[in-house]
Amino acid sequence: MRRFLIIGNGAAGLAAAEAIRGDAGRAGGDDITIVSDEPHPAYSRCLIPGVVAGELGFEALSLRPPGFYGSLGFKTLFGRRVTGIDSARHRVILENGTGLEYDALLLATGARPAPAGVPGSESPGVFSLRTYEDATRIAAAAEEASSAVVVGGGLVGLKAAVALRKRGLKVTVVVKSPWILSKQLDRWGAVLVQEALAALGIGFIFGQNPAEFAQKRGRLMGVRLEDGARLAAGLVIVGKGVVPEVRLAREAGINVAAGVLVDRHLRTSAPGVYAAGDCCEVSDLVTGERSPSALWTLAVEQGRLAGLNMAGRAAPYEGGLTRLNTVEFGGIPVASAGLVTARGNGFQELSRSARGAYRKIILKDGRLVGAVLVGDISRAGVYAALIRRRAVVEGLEPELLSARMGANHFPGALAALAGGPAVPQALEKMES
Amino acid sequence: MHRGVFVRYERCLGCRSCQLACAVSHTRAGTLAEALLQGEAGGRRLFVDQVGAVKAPSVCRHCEEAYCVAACPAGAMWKRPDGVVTNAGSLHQCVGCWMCVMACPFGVISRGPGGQAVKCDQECLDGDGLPACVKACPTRALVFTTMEEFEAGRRRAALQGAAATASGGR
Amino acid sequence: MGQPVMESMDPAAREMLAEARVKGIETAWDRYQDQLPQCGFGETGLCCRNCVQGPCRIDPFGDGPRAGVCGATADTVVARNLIRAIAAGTAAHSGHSKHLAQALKKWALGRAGAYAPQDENKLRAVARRLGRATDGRTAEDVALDVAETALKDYAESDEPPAFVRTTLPRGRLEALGRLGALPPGIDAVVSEIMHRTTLGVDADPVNLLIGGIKGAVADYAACHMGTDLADIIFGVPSPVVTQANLGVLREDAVNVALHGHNPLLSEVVVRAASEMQDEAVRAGARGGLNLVGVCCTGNEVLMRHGVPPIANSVSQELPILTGALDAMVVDYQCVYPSLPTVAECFGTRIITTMEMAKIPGATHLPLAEETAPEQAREIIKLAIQAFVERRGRPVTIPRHTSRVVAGFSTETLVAALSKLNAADPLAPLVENIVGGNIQGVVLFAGCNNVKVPQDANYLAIATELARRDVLMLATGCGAGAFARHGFLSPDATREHAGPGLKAVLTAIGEANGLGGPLPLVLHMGSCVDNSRAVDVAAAVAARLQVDIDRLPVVASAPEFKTEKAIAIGTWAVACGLPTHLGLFPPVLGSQTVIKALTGEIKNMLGGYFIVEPDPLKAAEKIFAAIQERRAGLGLAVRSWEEARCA
Repeated sequence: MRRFLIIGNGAAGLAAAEAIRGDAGRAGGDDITIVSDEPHPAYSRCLIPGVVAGELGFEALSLRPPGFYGSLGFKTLFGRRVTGIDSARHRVILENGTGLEYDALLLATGARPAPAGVPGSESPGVFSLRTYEDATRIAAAAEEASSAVVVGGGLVGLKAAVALRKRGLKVTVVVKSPWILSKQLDRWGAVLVQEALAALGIGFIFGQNPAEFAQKRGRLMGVRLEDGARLAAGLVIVGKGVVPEVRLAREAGINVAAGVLVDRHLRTSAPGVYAAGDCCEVSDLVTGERSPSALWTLAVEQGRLAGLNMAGRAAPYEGGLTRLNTVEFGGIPVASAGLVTARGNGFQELSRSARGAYRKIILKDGRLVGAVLVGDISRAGVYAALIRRRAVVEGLEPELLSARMGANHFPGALAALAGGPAVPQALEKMES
Repeated sequence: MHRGVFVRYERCLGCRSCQLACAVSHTRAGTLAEALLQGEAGGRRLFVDQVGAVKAPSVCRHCEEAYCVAACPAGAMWKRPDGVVTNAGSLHQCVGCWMCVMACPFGVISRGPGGQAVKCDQECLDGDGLPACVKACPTRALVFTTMEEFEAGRRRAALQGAAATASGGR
Repeated sequence: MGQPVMESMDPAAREMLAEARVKGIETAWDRYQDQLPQCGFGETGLCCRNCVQGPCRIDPFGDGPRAGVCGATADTVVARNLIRAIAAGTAAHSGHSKHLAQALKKWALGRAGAYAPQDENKLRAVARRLGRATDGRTAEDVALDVAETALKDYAESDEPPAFVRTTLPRGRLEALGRLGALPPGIDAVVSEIMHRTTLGVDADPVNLLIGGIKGAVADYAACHMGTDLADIIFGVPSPVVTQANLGVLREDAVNVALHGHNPLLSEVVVRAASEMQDEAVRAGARGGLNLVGVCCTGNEVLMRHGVPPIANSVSQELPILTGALDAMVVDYQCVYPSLPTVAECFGTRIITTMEMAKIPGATHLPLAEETAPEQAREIIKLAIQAFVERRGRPVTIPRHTSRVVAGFSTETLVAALSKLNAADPLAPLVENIVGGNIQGVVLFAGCNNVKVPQDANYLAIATELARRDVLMLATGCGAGAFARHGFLSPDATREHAGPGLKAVLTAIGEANGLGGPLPLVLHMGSCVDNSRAVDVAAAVAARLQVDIDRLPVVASAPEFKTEKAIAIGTWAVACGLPTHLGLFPPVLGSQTVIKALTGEIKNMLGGYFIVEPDPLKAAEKIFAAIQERRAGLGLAVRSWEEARCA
């Protein structure tokens, strides 16, 4: 009986545990333990803005039904912090000094919010939004506040802004970039989303970072910006992205760059230690660049593959799209995958906007490397799959821009993905 | 054995009758005329595309390892014990984050009119167990069967064709 | 993978389409993508909506329904649908020519001074041909007679329309008579087709097709009438030299596009514009009034006034995208309802002028023959006002233009030939055909169709045929396509023509003092002016003492789209011409109809359809049809390959 230990109960940790247990899907066999410093069963981080808005309670966030861990025979140590890893002895140390031995260890420690790094960041009333606890604290603070400043125009910042607006707060979003969602959208796509957010009553200030979170007698008064402007706020949410949580790995002497470094089988530099999810660095399928990704879908995929590898069912990881997002603001759905703008020569950008919908594709050497869909996200998955599979799309540009294109246009690349029946020759020929 | 909708591409005329029937079967009104009169949109869950000269329906395959299930951060998309992949009747309500739309390489999940993702859920079977789209297909390009039956049928047809050629039927 | 993305062969059109993408404006090409896939039952002609027990659709694979509710089979449904299209095309052309006849009649009665005949010679010639007396009669008298004779052609009568009887060779009339395809009247046959195709009347596909041919012959009458009456009222065209394409638009001018079909509108606008140049200049337009043409109205004013053609029906939205078009004045047919929507972003005035053809969002200024000049001035004033509002706004005018020599009416052609042989003008043409310098004649007609990269089929087929010494004529949007690509110029003759063709075109050109060859493709006018080509063919046939169905003359509609084109294509076949179609007409659901139109009809009328979407294969098939006819006349023949080397 092998001993598997998983640090982290998020998307990657959960997917790994389930993969190790395998098709049997029930208790028995290997010993699987999940440790998490959060006190809850696994929940959906993506949904916590709903807690801020007061729309969702914890039950609505849970990812698995009650009794799930027991039914699969997972041992859980929730609310327990791991303080160190002794990789030579295949042991981890918990904060109470207890040691846990493992045959295979998964680091699924996730990421933590990037700090604003300005004076006053520790003031009461200044929050980040990463955990369920963060969300409940913000919800409580919002009861007392009438206006809020959100720092950062990324997905978390904007979702937080919408949630606070739903509670009736006056909300201003301070964005350093020239447009919101700069990682997910180009300027034109962002404008459409910004218009929808503005219609909800959210204000924007661009090209600015906070210089200080001002407090008076232990109370948050507001935000001073780089240009000296002052914004009154009883509540600040900092949404400047996340950084991989690598402390344990680094202290254990495991190779770390921006995130934990892993090989194709998601193994770290320490024998028997794997890593998956937001804590590690992966190479992007389009750019080949290594970076942390902080994407739910990637964490699930890596967690599953790490679990299979840990269980001895060799499953190489081919890399993923580190940029793959969907969201909806004010009735405007958004989806983007891969690059959002051309990166110099050799790239081609084509776009079409009609009836409030904007669709842009980015090509290189006849292959799709990026897609931005705003207002109408139909067939978004086909774009993502084409980018992932490096399919040649030359000649199908009108279809790609018109959303009248499906997997059948790319039978070789896509149609057999699920082991489906053979496609007719006429379709095969279309692709060549 | 789990049955699904399979496509005989060479028969599709691109009339979109399947899409209409699918949408209608997902309305409360239940008929095209009533649904139109009441302004009710059911949301069609299959697509018909033009691929060169071929009209190509795209249908959900209810994948074994479904991309949409793995991608759902809300715990809404699931594979039912009978093999149907759906976001209805699971632990949680779909929250409309659209990650399943992005995850499906076949492009057959849509943003539904009610703020939730819509996809083929086989909630349209009639008394004979036939889906609305299959019943609506005037050329029988869509068939409801198992993968094994479908492939066997194609092989039989190919053999009959070959036999006819051999016996001088031009 | 596949073809490169190519929506148009015209670089100016491509520039404008890129502009449309940037500005988020939908064009026909985008809407076509949105329409895909188009319904296969409609594409194959197997959808019947002629009664409310339907719509019925016949399964072309045979294992679904084999008949509609009423029992109509695939053959019946396909044939009915096809001939309804012919009836619609006939209704359109005959509406156009009836309108001209009414205007001529009003002038004769002193009620429409603007439409005084500009060519009294043609008036009297047409009258004589129609069997009307002309000696000693006033122009008004003769005009009234011609107009009333024309209008009588619409009603049911004991004999076929005068515009059929007096224009087709006797052999044609006899062949059509044997088939039962001579119409009793133009309106009468449109009405008859609607009757016989309604629920429970004619179910015999062959009988239906004969009824359709009868309708197409009525369409021919209407087209010929349209040409004759336009020539009478506005003058017989003679060659003009001008430019084509969007590059003729000027930022500093009041740009007015004339779009649609009937010269009744465009002619009075041209006249008003020439009188109001000063007004435009006073309003700040240094370039004055700049008229441009779109579609067949473009052809009418091109050949009579040298107005530059800038777009065809499929690309009619693109001139607006330049931001420089101040007004687009339209009458009817092929005018896209999308125009006001596109114009919204640019301030272009879309002005509709016909009571039976309004478009939501357009300005409607109804044209009455009695007061046309005032209305034309009103239109120009609106355009000047739009220019004033536009000043200072950026424009995007593509630089592309090409040289055009246009306006080869039958009369002009005969006059040009008579410079070589005054006594027997047709002799040089006939001798060169017999001798092989000219292998045959191809008439290009029809539209652009969004399903074909704009102009691609025209250019590819013409290039292949030119080098094989085929003389080419063009009308309608086909002529527009050639205009925008420089094929209506002597330079194109130098570049593309085979040695025999080049020699003949050069001889005619030089005999006429042009200092060079005639253009590679001879522009004969608008789509109704296909009748001019029949006149030429009939004259050549008479000179050779054969019927048209033995001449090495072929018609081609390589990018057709309209019901009018289906009607014209069918009468081209009825006139005895092999007729190429570059897209499948909606008949694929019936083998009976396909065989009848591409095969059996040949035995009865000599003409037949050649359906070939691939332009290179089409050129080869057209050339083969020419060679078959040459062989039939006992003339020397060339193979496709041999001809290429020649």
